Amino acid sequence: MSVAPTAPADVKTNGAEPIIRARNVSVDFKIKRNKTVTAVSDVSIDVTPRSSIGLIGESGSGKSTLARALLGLVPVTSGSVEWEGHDISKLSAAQMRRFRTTAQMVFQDPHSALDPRRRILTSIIEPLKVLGIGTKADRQNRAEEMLSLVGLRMDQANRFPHQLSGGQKQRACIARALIVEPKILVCDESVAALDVALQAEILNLLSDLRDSLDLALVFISHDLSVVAHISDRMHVMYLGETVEEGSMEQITSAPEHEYTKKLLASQLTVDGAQTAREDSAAEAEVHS
Amino acid sequence: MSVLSVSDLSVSFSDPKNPDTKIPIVKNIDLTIEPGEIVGLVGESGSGKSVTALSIMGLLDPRSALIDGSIRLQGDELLGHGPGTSRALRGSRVSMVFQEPMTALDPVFTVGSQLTETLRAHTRISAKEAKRKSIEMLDSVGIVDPEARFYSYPHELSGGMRQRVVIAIALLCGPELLIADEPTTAVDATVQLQLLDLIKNACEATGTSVLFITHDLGVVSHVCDRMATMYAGEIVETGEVSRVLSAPQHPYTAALLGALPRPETRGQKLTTIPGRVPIPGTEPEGCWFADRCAFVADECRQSHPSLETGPAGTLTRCARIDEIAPALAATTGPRRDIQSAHTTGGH
Repeated sequence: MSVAPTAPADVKTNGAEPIIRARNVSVDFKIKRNKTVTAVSDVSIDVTPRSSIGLIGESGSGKSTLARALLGLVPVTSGSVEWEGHDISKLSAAQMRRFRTTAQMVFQDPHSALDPRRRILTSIIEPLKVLGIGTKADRQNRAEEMLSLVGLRMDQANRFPHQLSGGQKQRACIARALIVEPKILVCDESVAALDVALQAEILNLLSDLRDSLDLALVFISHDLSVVAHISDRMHVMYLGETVEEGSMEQITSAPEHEYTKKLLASQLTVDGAQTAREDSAAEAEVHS
Repeated sequence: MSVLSVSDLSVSFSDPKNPDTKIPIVKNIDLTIEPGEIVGLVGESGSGKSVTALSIMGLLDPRSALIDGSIRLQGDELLGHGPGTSRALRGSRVSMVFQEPMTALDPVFTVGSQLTETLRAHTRISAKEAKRKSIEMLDSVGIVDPEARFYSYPHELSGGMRQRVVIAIALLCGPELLIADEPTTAVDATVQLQLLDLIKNACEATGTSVLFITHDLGVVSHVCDRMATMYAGEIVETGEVSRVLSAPQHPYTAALLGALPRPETRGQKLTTIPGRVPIPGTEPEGCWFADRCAFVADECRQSHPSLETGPAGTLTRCARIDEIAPALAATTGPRRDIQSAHTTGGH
């Protein structure tokens, strides 16, 4: 349905046609009359089907802004984000609705992402209503399917957000994102607010869903161990730029940029005898 | 003498729907911290770690919380006093660092006024001297240009800097015990390591003992000397960090360890712990972890196990420790290749 432009050599596409193709994206924010801050500068990224991309960087490095730009949630200042050959900033309302069913997002804090005065089920169904998909009965059926997919029971879905645990709420947010059957799921620090046991639960769920629904995952986190667990490729962001991009093995075993090295050296391990400082990536390779 | 000696501590809260019944949250905790020691208190959300910390700190509302047992600070009993005596007893001797530095600092006062306020509340000190000491403290927690930052407001600082200020306030009066409640969960990995090293080194330099609350075993492994795993309000395993983490004896500690994503677990399922921490007041008969345990047997449901010394020299609350410990050792291994019984392998 679109012309197949050839990707520049610096962006790896893994052979498949990307669903979203971002080229030289920069995002500026106006902070005062004559002052702008560049949150993302000149980043290119391809989201191919079934890929799993990790965006890692410290707070303020632009990873969330980049993710929002990929979904058209913030306007890009220069560069382009293309979907099916269209620039997403120039989509018609009908095309935009279709684009919304392609890419969905799961946010960091499941509690503030759900309307406290609505039952979980109502929140899960809402995207279908907004996008005008299906009849009332269809929507209900789809919601029930999603609930079982993410491991929530119907009686839990009939409760309000404050009556569920953090992990259950995050499952509800994932169900809400998946109900429009997206091809891309963007997870913005989706496990950062959860403790280790729940984090493991959600990470397992996401990797299951990726495999069973053929999803592409864009996973944003400041926690390298989490990104490394779930992603195949990684973009390391620093001060708005991608400073390093490559396969997970490549980056964790042979980091090139100073920040990536620092990040790898900051990883805490659970080896009593070893301190994190000494625990270089090379050493981790030897032990595993 | 131990800096902190908690024995048989129980905390229960009154049920908001039924004020006469008390729901036990923390159950018969024994915990000691020696001078200069850093002790980690580990567990999932809802395991009672923060309530334990708050009761040591005296921050629980006496109208809703019923505290039993004994908490001694250098031998001085902290429980059973009115608020005035309570404050005088704890005074500058115990301080606390909270999780979220933005809410711990008052947004309308400068960093400097919050430091000097603390100092002048606890010691007779001139304003000039308080300022000098505060700037010195800001410098020692690694804040660049402390004279200028003294006049900064919290919003002008980054998250890591704010947490440094909070740590500076906590250490200002030279406490005997510092309670750190998940102080690094809200910051980046690189900043986290800096803050952990800061707490570790500052407390080592002043001989301050630390009770470190976290759910991250990586953090425990990095800073703590001893650890105690809490589950459903009681301690299920405690011992030296190197021993507990290299060979966990309790299935719950082992499961927490298996839930951490690590380089070796890439592409594999992480260990999850099915179910939830039991709702306080509805703990099952026998072992409280039985419903979620991979090693559960009939005997686990019979009687509640007590905390006993296991073969590794750590204290463990598990009836089947003799059978489980070797099984855990076989699956968890002495070092890194940890996979537990829940793990279903890769795809």
